[in-house]
Amino acid sequence: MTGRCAVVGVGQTHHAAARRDVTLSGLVREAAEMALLDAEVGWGEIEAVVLGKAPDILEGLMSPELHLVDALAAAGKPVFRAYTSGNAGGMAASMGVSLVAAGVHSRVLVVAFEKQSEGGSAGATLQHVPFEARWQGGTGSLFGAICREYIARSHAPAHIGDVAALKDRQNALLNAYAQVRRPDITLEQIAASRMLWDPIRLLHSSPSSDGACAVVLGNEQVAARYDRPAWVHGCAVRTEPPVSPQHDNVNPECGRHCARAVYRQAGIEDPLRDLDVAELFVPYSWMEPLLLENLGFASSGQGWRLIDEGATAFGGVLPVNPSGGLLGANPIGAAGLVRFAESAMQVRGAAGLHQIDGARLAVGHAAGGYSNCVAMWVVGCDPP
Amino acid sequence: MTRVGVVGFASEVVSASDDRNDAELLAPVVDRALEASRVSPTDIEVVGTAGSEFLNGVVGGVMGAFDALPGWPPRAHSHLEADGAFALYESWVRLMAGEGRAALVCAFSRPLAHDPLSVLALQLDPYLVQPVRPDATSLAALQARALVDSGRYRESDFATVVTARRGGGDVDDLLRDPYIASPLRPLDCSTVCSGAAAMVLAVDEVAGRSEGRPAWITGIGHRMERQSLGARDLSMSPSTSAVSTDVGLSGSAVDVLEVHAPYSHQELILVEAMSAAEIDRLNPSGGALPADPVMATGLIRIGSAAAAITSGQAHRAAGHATNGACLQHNLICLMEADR
Repeated sequence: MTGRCAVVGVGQTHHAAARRDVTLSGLVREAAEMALLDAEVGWGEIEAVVLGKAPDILEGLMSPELHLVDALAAAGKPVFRAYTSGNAGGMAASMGVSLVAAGVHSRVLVVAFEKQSEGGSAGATLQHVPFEARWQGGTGSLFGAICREYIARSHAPAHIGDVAALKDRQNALLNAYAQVRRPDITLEQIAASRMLWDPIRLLHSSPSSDGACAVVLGNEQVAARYDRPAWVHGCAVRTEPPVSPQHDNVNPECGRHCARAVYRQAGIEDPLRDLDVAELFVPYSWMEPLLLENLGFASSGQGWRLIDEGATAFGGVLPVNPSGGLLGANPIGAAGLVRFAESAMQVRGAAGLHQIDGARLAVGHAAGGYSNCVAMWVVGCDPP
Repeated sequence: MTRVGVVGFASEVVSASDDRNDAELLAPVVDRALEASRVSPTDIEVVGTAGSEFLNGVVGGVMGAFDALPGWPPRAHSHLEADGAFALYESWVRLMAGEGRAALVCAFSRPLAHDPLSVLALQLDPYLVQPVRPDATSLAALQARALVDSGRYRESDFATVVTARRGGGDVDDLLRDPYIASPLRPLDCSTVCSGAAAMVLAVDEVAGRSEGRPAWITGIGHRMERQSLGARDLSMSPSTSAVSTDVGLSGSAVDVLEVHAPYSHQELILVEAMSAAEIDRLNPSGGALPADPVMATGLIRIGSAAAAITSGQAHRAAGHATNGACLQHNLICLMEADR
């Protein structure tokens, strides 16, 4: 990155299975207003908006930035839509960082949303692609196969998926914005829940959600006015072809590449020790051990041991998803930005009940597609 | 300060009935752009692709394009549901931010849906306007009517644009054509087709290695207007005026200006809004009217302007792209050759 960039405001909606009280405009407006309030800036001080969103077909609104420009008070301004895949929220944050780092804008509002209740997202991803064989998989069966392959390679015991799910579900109880909060959740309930896509059970899985998230990014001059901005120490996106001899769904090169890039930018040598907290894109609990390896926190085949030892729980060496992660809420296009925002909240000491004491350096991660699209950033309380 | 230049461009437009898939459409164009640029695929660190999943009928549209791209290693690749011109903007931003030294920008368009112009109605307010399903041409006609009512242009001016872009015809004959949506006639509306475009960008250090003549981007920007048609003066394009000032086009002379106007009257609105001091050649490529691969059309305008510079036919050129009903979102890229 060329110029410095910092997060100076964060906001997110209360996520729910169906936010029937708001339109799409109301949903993005709610998150954006909270971020502006947090940053103590007015709409007029925002120079440009980046809007992140997963496939348009999930709501049936094409190029939603054209409609949402009014709700974001952005008429007359540059409004840029980020997408790529389910990592859209991370792609949006990354574009915002690039706009600031390149010196194009000094203050940028990044917003991401999904309102799954307004469409049938499972059905949308099951559509028949013209010219291609019918493949009625859907995302769950894809992840099921990936997790099965991970278990075959790593010999992870069957309870790892349950332990990882219990940790995220208990963490979600501390997050006022989470959608799924089950105060009485137990390991036994998770282990006995319905098998959806072997080895993925119902309670290993993220819900379908409506939600939005927003962050205000500023350059060095803007950030200087704040007591505790979250400085961006590294930010990168990587994508690779999903159908390719080199592509490995379980341990994709794009994830390793992206992680190496942000760690190098941030001067991190041992991510497990150097980072204080991680917010990772884990739509199914079984994906956590796999990501721990892919992103360099554990060596190959050892990621599940960190979970088994409680290293990724509160008080562990690297708490993962203290917010509850995607198991708390998964508004697809927004979920990546929520991970980025939560990591910023942690290093600003503003994560409330799920604050990790003394968090100074955190990583946010978003992924999508066939494990072939990744976005990450590392944020810290000190300037880079 | 980093400088980014266009060092390669290629495009192809084909009939909407062409049955090649996205990658098959894109691959030859990518190869030609890379070859023209003399940039090695291994130098490409940033990739920007764009298309429309609604128009192509595919969710996760980027997945179908990979076979046409330099495959490995993983790159900083972003995919947009937008015109390729916006992918150009993102790639330029990423190169300016130091995320790479060369970029590949691609757009592909295969509007398979039976009526692409009614699919574009899905861009409108989903609660109050979408259910009425106004097609893009009907909305453009409202704009054309507002322009006529403003007293600045007449239907014969629209016909003059049509004869210039479609390479002939008589204005009086054109005015005898029946309306498709008054005051627009069929030839006032672009011919929708399939197509693909690819552009190679490089920072000065890499661009300097090639023997070609880079089209240096001296200004690129975009702005959006409100969506509600009732809240805008449709006969004007204030976002285009503002961007023209932002990028340094307003009040200055260009050898070539390529305008993305899918309807004849929109060219008049846009050129007026840009207020360039002098335009030597306007839309020498023919513009969007004779061939409109929706979502690649804007990138092709900018690429055509860049090609005028790289081929030595222009010193300073600008390209424009638009998205949304009645020119809601506008982007301008201004380019120059070294002296």
